[in-house]
Amino acid sequence: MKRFPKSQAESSRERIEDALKHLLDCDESGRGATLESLAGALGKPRQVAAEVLGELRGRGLAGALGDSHRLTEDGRVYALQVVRSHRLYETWLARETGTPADSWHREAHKAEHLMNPDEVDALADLLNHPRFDPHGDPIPTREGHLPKRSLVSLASWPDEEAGHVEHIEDEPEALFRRIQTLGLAPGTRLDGALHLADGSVECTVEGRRLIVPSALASLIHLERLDEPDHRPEGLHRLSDLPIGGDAVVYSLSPSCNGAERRRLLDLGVVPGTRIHCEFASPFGSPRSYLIRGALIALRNQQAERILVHPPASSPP
Amino acid sequence: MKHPEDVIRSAEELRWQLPQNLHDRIAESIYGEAARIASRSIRRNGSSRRLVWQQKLDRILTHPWTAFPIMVLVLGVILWLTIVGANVPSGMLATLLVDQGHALLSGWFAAAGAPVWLKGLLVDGMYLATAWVIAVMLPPMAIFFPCFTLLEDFGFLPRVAFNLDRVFQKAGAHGKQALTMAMGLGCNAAGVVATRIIDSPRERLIAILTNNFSLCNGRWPTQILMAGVFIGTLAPKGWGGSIAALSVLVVALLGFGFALLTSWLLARTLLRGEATSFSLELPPYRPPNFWKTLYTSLIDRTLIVLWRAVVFALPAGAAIWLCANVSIGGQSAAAWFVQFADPLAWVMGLTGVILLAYIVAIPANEIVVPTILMLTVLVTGASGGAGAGVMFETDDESVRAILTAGGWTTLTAVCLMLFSLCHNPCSTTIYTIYKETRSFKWTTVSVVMPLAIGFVLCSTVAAVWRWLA
Repeated sequence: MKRFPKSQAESSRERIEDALKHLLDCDESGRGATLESLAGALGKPRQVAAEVLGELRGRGLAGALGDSHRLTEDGRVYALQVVRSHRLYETWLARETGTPADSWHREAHKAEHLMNPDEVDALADLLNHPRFDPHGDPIPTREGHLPKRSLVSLASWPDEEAGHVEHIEDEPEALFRRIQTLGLAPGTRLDGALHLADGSVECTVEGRRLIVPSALASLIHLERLDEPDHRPEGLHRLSDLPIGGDAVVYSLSPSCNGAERRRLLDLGVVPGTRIHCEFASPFGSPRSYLIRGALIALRNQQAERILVHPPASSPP
Repeated sequence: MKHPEDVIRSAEELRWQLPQNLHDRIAESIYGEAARIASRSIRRNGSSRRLVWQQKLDRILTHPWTAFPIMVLVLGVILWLTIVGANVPSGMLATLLVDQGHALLSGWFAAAGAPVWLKGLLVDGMYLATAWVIAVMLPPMAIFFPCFTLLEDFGFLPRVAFNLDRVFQKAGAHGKQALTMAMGLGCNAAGVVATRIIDSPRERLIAILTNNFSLCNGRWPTQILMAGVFIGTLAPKGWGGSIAALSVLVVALLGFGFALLTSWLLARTLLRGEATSFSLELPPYRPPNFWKTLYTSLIDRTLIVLWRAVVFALPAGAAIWLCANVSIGGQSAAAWFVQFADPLAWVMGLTGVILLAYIVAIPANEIVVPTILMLTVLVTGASGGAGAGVMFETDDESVRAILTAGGWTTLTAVCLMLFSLCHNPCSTTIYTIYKETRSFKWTTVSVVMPLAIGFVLCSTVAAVWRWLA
């Protein structure tokens, strides 16, 4: 105990905070937390979970209600701050670093237990007080405000209804990675959903038909469009433009974020910009595009994130 | 009137009702509006279409069949220009600084009655090493850097990065790494600094750590001498020069392969991550401003690199002289080390002299060959030298005679060429890497990784060679 005071304190803080997050999760979803569910969430034996619960009660962070355990008001405030650190850190990773998306959750899970409140506030300042993390989860404010949302998963989304992806579950990591490779991100518009017999969902995303396997569909949550919009005919991705073709930028895909998005905007890839595809490199990617008089090379996986439509009329 | 708390609370609630990508949408529309204002108020002369000859040139330079042969050809021509063009001025500088300058200074010291050790340390050690570095380094750099800058100005180098990007992407690196590696052919320290053009920290670090596999100017003389003296002579008469040049090109391309391989390994182990944003402007071709280019590349690149080399060559010269002249137990320090290192060197197909030369030459790769010659003469007692600890160079035939006397074979030359490609960066580059990464760990990786590869590579080649012979 004496020999490793720091790591002992750290691992105890980590356990307490993970337990608080689990209790918050259960409170939010309306199901009560039990000793078993806590042991499962911590990945520890029941005995350890019981010790942690004891400490939570001793510090006035949690109380028992019949069989289940609930957060006290203090516990809820503490738990929300942990969630806030986690989601802010994820946002920072996504926006400011080149960390791969499938590592965001793991990295943030480590960092959330190491930051103090001042550091968390400084991070929020740095990021201009974002409201949502890169998975689409709302970030609690410093005052502990967290909105309740009712979202529908893609698995139970009505056929043919257009919607926006609002939230993507970041666990399990392997499934999240597959959703990433499909090019889905919070904000992505989804049209013409069609439920197939095997539970997978076929839909149109950014000019392409996709099939979302059933295992993934339940992790993707959508919201109805709040305003009807007028999407131009023939919307497709810049990477699908043939060499020598012309197109006009409609928007940047929501999955294009951070430095990549800023760079494209700086290059003048903004709604209304006309783009001409000039030639490809010997391997097919990158290709060069004439954008506002400059010849710019973009990799196909970047051009995939630029939504374009055919020019309305012949060039003047 | 409403309470302030109520206003704050309702603001808090309204905040969550805004769409999630509000910021992106605002930013997008600001950019869009700026573009609209610009297009309304700017009038352009002529059309925005690119000129036909530019399009044709682009098609040739990026065509799957022609792109790579042209790139290798251009690299080959520049190397050939550098090697052949540097010969004459290098010889003149060597005559001036090494032969005449050394004699003159020796005369002065003798006339002033200076002690032998002082003259040895200052003139035979420090002055001679520096004179060598200038004579060997200045002409090739004065040719290579301007050629490189001219290609850059003309717009050719961005096309190289464009053509090679897919390969670098597969390796988990950035296409602009091709540019920094091309720069490294001149000087690795300059190449490391040039990695600043890569935005993503991860990919930049990969470019820094692998830049050493670009054969720098200081190592070309070693390659050229070995190729000329040992490999060129294997070829039939009249083909020696071409075969020698080809073997140097092969080593340079091997370096490119190693850079890709290590990038790939790093991107999968220590520097895991996705290939991030890539955008590269392909500027229009334009005739370079020859004199301005010549001037700036001489001032900005050549002289700075040369100055640094001189600063490091001075102490190295002193060290070489000392280790050849300080004797311990009746034998010079150099001889002790050579004896000690010989078994390891044998495994790698090298000699103890070469290993010692590489340790002494950490400050500047340029002095490897003169150091090897000097040490070989010292250890074998062969004739032709100018005294212990004095660097010299003679024509190819006598070099061959000296080295053969030192137990060299074609295998030694081949392994030396490989080891010259794969060994730790020079001290200037190491220092630059530290300055750019601010990390002791990554600096260590940049030193250990090429050494490990060099050891494995040389040992394997030596083992296979001996087994076949």
